[in-house]
Amino acid sequence: MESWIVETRGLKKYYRLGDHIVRALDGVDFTVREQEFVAIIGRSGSGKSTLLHMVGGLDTPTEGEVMVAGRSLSGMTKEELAIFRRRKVGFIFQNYNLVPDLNVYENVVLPIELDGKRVDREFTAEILDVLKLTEKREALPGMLSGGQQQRAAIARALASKPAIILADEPTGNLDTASGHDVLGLLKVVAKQFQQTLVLITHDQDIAQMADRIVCIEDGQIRKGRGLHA
Amino acid sequence: MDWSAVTAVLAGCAAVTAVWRMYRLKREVYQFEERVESALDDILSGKGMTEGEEGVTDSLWGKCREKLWRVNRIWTKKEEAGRREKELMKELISDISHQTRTPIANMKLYQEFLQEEGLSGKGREFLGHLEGQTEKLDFLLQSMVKMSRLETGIIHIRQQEARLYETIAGAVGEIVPAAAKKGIELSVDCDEEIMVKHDRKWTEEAIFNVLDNAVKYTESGGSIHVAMKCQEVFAKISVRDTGKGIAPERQAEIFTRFYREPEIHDESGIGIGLYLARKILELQNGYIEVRSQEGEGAEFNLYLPNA
Repeated sequence: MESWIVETRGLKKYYRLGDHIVRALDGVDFTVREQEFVAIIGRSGSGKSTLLHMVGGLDTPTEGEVMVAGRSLSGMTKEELAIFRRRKVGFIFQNYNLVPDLNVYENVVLPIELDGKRVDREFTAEILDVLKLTEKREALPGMLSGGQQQRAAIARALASKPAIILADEPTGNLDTASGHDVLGLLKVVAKQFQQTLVLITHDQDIAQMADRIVCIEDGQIRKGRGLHA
Repeated sequence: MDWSAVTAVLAGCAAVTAVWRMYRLKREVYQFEERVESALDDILSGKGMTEGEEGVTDSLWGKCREKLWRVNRIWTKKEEAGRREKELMKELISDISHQTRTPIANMKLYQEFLQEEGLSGKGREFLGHLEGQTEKLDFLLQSMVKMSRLETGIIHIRQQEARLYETIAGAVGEIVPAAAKKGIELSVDCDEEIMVKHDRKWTEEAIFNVLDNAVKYTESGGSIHVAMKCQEVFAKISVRDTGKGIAPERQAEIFTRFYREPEIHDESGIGIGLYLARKILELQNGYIEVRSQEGEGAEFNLYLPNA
């Protein structure tokens, strides 16, 4: 039997919008293998962000189940979900979400310190090195280029050794060339540190870099598409 | 004597003792937690544990440490077994490659002898096929040996700061005869000064495999263009051809082992060139990608991290 690091079964998310019911997700069975790099592609409003938020424990489903790293998120309380996110998930956002008053190194180790754990200095240094940030470790985010800021965000996601990294349009704010560069690097470090990576994008070119593409449309996974899905 | 004062003092003493005991207990718990965590960190990071003398004490930490030490030992033992297995595999592979070399060389030799015998027309035709198949077998075996060596980590990739231009030139030089034979125009646009940390021999092999593939899938009169560009993080080598292109749904498959485009089974090859190329780049913390539309040629991009 295949073991999945992420598995959703019949996932549904409905919102009420005035008299309407919006079906953001309408029965999604989505699975990710360990150390796989999956791109979820779809237009805005297709439900791809909602799916990512469910997997990351940022949102709760109307119906259906989410399993991540062998645990069901359904029964978790708010506190448990917060701990789950802190320990198991590394997030990378479109707008980097770096703390402007902390330098690169401080930003990278912040989640570990917030969790009250010891910082593995060697490991952190290694991450900064592969992401080519060693020289910039003392720099404040405001002094960095967009690509460098996103690299710092990648380092932060890796530093806590999460079970899975979720990236929400990580190249959305970057020009084509540096976006491509950052994603290439993300792909390389994910392999190097044996990380599982799920990324959402609307950019076909970016999605092409993944091991597998999942196409989502009107809250459902479109069958028969994707590379070797 | 004022009994109430005595009671107060006694109660005070009791309270202080209780607080002090609480404090000690708490400290012990914290200390224990810290020890367990640091021991686990050491095990996880591969530093391992030594058998300390706390292991023989009957304290909670002593018992726990003893267990942790055993876990660590089992783990290392398993790792060692894995390593030994890899060693054996390595020997087996080198044996296979060594032992098959001689019979294949002999087969080729006898085939040459046969050519000098007066064979009938049919005989010569069969001999031609035999030679072709022997060549294929030879190539297959060599490729498989190469592949298994790369995969089991037997081959060491040595990345050294060197001019990427020279590596590209080496690969292009090797492909010139095949391109010329097919009447394919080959052009290179490349900055000679760019230095990149890479393994010259293996990177050359990767570039050659991509070029070889381009020649194979480009018809006579087409062209192949090699270019290089330095980006913020990666140096990019691109190989663009005017061949038949690759349908999007096959683009991920072409990098898998033994993949062959269904339409061209008559071309030689076994479908491991691109697989090897990808492996070589991955081992150097780079990657490879393809951009193509069916019928509009293909562009393979090889990325190596900038020094």
